Amino acid sequence: MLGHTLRSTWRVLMRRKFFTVVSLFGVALTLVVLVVAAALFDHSFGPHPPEVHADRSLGIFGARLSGEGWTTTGGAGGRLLETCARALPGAEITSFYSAQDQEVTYRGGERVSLWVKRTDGAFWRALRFRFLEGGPFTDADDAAANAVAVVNDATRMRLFGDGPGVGKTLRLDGRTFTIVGVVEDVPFLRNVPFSDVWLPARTARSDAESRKLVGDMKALIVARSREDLPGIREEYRRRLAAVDLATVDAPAGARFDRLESEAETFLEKAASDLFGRNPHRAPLLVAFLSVLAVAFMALPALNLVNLALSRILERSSEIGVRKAFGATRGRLVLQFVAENLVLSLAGGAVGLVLAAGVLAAVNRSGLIPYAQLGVNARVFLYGLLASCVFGVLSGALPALRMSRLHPVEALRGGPR
Amino acid sequence: MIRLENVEKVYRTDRIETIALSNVSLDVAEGEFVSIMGPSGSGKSTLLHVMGLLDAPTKGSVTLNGRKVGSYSDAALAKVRNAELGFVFQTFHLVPDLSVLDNVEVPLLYRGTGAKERRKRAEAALERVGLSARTRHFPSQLSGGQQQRVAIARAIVGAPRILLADEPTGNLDSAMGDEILALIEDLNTRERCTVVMVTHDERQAAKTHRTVRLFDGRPVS
Amino acid sequence: MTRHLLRLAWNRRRAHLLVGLEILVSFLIVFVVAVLALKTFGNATEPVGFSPGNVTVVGVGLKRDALEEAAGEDRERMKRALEAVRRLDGVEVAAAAFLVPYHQGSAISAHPVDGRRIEYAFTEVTDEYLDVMKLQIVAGRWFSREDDGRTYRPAVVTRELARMAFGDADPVGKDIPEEAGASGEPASRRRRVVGVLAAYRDGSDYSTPGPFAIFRTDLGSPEGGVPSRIVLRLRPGTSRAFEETLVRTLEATVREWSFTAEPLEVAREAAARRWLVPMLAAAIVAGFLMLLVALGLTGVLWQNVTRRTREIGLRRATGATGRQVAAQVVMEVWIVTALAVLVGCAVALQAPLFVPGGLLTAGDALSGAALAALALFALTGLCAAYPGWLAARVDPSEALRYE
Repeated sequence: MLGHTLRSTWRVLMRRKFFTVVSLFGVALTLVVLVVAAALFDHSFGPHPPEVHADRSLGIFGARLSGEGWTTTGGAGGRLLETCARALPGAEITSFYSAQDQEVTYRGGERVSLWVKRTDGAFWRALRFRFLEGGPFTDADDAAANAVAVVNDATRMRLFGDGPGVGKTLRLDGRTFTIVGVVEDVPFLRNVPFSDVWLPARTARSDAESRKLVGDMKALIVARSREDLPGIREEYRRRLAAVDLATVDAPAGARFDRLESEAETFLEKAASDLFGRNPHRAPLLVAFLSVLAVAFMALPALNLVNLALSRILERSSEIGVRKAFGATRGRLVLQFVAENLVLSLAGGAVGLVLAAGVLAAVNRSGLIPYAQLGVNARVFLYGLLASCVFGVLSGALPALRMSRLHPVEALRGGPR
Repeated sequence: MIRLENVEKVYRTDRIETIALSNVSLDVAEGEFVSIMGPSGSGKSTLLHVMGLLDAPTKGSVTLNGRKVGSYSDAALAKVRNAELGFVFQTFHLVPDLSVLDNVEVPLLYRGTGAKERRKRAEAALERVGLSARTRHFPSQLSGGQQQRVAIARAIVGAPRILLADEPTGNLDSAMGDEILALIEDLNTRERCTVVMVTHDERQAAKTHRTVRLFDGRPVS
Repeated sequence: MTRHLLRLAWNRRRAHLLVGLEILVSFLIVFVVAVLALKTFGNATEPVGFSPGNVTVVGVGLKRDALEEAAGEDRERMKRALEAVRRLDGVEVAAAAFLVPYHQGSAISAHPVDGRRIEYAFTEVTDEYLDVMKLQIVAGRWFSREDDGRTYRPAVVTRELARMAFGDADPVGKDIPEEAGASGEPASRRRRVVGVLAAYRDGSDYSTPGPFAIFRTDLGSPEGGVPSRIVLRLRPGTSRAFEETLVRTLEATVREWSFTAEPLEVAREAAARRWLVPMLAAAIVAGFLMLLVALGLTGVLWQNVTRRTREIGLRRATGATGRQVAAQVVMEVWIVTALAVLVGCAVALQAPLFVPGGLLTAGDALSGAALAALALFALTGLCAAYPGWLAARVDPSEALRYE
């Protein structure tokens, strides 16, 4: 049956070359957009090195202090993290780091703008960077506020050209730092590890951060196992509620009465923009994006339905014959949906190849720094799924309509 | 084999009523070669379609091989058609996108026959109609007569007991038409296939066992 | 002829429904893109209100959070920093400010007053800011020493804010209305308008001009916070290497603070890119969809022509020329387009009601709709061209023989 269908499909498609090309092109274009979007999503939220423990990690990305008419939102403050996020039960590695910020260094009078992140020593244990030279700075370096730095390969290139980076110096924020390690570039979309330069946290100029509840810091907590994650969330929440807000500095006369923060995955953080504090916001975001994808497919699917309908109408006598010789409605629907599926999969394949090209171009353009977008296994499967959904969606309606045709009418050449 | 009792077929579209068949009763015995004749619009094709379970009568009953098929569902009718009936049409109705062999296999697909078995039977049917040399060709590469022979092969591949032919030689010249008729006669005498054929040609009708004449949807003697 | 075609199109309305739907959806998409493009490039022609060339912004990493009370020390440090900067050869004039244009992050003051909502963004600057940014005052005056020690907070506002708060009345000398007792502000710190700016667009070059207020901050007085940015205008012809000298000087003057310098033009480009890149992506996606619609439409039209060969043959046999037949194909498509566009316009012109902040005016919506309609007619006409040409070449005798 399969061979028969495939042979028949091939001939049908070849007979009306123009429509086949049009349909193929339509499917391919749609798939390109969907696959590129999927690749971007996967690049931002999927598990990639250096985040090797992503499946058992949580982050603290922000905090919010509110009271009568005043709200302060931002990253977590140093004080908040030390009192509430240190040594949570079930946590194997806890790291505090600052949000990346752009700072400027000067080389031969030219300004070089670099992303700088300040981290503790645990950062390098929580994430597995690939070191091309040297190694990371340690907890001891951080405690002593040593002026050492880790840079990425692109920075080494920009500052020192072809030579090695370890041992060279870099002037930032009024201090001279010595480079102790060079790592492979980390893509911009990997928000947690991303930076150009990493410095020990204690080298920050002021210690104001350590007194703040809402500040500029984030935390990365790697749990011992996935089962420990709920416990960590719960304990963080408990400690948060116990913070005495009366001692918090506030603008003249105001008082804060609410402190909000969460230990969550990066996907959950992104989803909270749309769905707030809903505990199911991560799957909700994925569902929302899927609905958007299907909606995006609607227009091209409509096109395909149109073309498929006309193609089928041409073959009404064939439908009549098959019915005369005993084909049931179900068999006919299956046959036509299968034909459409073949077309969609072919279009999907073309789309995937084109998408790979687009992604490579985006990588090269530098629009997203250090992007390493590509079609990996997950994205490929997604593209496959999308093609199938497309094929079934656009084939079902015409197939159902035509399978219902009275055999005599069909033989005569269509409903009229 | 086929029994029609007081069959009436009326087509209703908006406000127009067309009576295609009116009070037709008919019996076709096993092994008979029956021809149906009449002027255009007399309801010949409709009668054939009703006999072939392609169309349901508005009144009356159709009995096939002892079974009353009036109350059968769409799926059940499909099964009966597949098992008991074979169709041959004036315009051949071959699938242009399938090879000759694939065309002939079509009825067997809906019976669930395995691929090897299908191939075997199709080749046998094509040999029976004298076209074993053309299995890989496509309908567009064959003459009218050859295409109709493929259609006949398709009709008999499932070994149905009844063959229904709607003006099988209508689109062929006289020489080819005679060949086709000879083939159908052969199927009737050798395989004892019951044949009901609609025709325009008096000469052809004369070669059949019995002729039913229709005028305005009614049988006349 | 038109009536004949209209009747024909109406009789075939079921078949046209799907195509019409596609055209409708395309129209809406093109409308959105058109409106965005019109607004964006319209905004780009609006006056900026200041001169960003040769201006450098130095971000100061203060030891304290700007919201907290500034100690007298910080004020002294800032004064020392400004003096050091002004002594440098490449600096024409220097001021201090809280927020500057093109930098993300804003301060917004919002008060419901008498059922209206007075909402505006603001910044606080020292007096030299006028010369650093080359602002233009069109009514009243800029800040000056005569504002020292007053019981009000002097403000210079944009025309949009003046209109929002005072209507057509002259705003100079009036107090910006606010809720009584708003979050701890004593009544003596009313905000009084002393001048009106020609324009001040602190967002990107593509943002819509809006209500904005500049308040005065005086480093000499014990009240008020310490601004976190030093803004200075360079002498024309100053080399780019000067930036490093500037930063090093500041670092040497106030060792407790960190300094990051950036030319305002760099921030301006970054802000522009933040707007343009997503817009470009949206336009590309919309372009994709249009391409798909065009392909689908051409396919459907081609099919129509091949299916109606007999009808075409008949028309030719009864005297239609090839050109008339081709025109018929195009006209039929345009009738469907017109209907779809009509429905689309009805929806599109409602848009200003759904976009908050009065950002979308009726005029914008109208222009967008007109542009979109034009685009769709052009698109569908193009799609009908090839099938129309095919129809014109149909041989009547063959067509009537066709089964």
